[in-house]
Amino acid sequence: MDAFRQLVESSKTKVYWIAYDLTGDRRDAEDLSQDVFIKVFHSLDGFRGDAKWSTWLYRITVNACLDYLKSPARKTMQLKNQTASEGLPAIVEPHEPLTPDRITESRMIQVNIERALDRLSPQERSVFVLRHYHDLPLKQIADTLSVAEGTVKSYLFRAIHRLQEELGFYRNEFGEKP
Amino acid sequence: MTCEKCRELFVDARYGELGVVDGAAFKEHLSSCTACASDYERMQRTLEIMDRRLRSEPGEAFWASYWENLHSKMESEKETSPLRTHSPKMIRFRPALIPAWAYGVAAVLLVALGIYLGRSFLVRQAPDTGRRANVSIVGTGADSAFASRQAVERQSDEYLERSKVLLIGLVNAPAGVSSTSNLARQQHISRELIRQADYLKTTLKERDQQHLRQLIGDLEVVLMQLANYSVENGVPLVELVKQGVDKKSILLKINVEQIRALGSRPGPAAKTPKNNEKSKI
Repeated sequence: MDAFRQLVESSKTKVYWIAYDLTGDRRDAEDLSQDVFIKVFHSLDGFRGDAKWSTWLYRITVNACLDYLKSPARKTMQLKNQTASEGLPAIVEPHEPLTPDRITESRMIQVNIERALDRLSPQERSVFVLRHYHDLPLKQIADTLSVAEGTVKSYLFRAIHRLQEELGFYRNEFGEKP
Repeated sequence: MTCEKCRELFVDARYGELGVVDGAAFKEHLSSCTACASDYERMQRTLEIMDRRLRSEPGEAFWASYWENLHSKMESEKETSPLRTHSPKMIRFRPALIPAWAYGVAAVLLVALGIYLGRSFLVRQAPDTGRRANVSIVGTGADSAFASRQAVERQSDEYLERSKVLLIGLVNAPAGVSSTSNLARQQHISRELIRQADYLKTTLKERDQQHLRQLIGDLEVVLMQLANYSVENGVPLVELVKQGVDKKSILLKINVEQIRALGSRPGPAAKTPKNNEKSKI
């Protein structure tokens, strides 16, 4: 049990952040990160060692999150949260003074980013967050999701294209010439 | 390099996964093709926006108690589903010497024994039970009238209490809490209550039971609204029920009726016809 504890301690933050990026919800990520380790504990016998430990752990994490996203429980919660502003992360941008306008603007950006991520298919979102926020090489993402590297590239390309469409109205603001 | 090939490499280029040769050709193409350069720039901008995403950190308490919570979850899971653990001792609870078919035979014998015992004893006792029931129903005329009045009033009390709990639960539910399964259950209960109301209204015939009959009738209207409520109506269920309840002051009337019942009807320790006559006077 001590060895398992060490394993949990060393990977818990990574698992939490992947779960967070896939669900977009802190509470869901907290619960899912623990569920993942319970699954890991029960499947340790099945870990053959031919994949990297981290790849195997991420695979369990992504699968747990995708299962949860498909579940009716998640859909009900989503409906409830649609009107609630609770759950948005606190605005922390120390390099700029926090005027009410800045806070509102920053909140709007956060809402739009989350909305854009929600528009991605589960596969596109998984590939995008693993590459963009977790810096996993395409090869490892392919191993994690058990798909070909070309498929991963194609999901990533589609994901970025869709994000571009969703966030198009921000691009001028961030410096693009019309 | 063609534009098509260049676009295929956008993702690799952005995430630094281009080889040296491809990298050089990619840069060269971008410097000579404004369309590709502009598209690549647009992609970069979008990803810069995505970099501005803020993420909710869990509290320190979450990390501090992470292992304890996980451990207790695993323990409770082990208790609820002992067969899920991989311990071979837990799975082999059937002694190896007894063959599997013996359990099937034992189950069949047990069922047969149950049927035999049921037929031998319960069927013979049935006539006696019936006779006893008849005796209690026959009794004297006054006794039976009093008993049936008491029974109806007890049923009415239960009916009012059940309705009250249902309505209070609905009216006080925080906005957005009621789920589809809750609604289905509430509608099921209200249908049951409506059926019961039908019976009670025809049974409460005495003059002094008129207010009770009226109250049950008022309640029935609200319960019907609840039973027939559909999400597509547009009006929130809580509002609908509140309107019905407020319009007829139903909860107040139920409370008054319950207080009245406490004062006028005999308690469990004094359920005799004589006491009841006194209370009526």
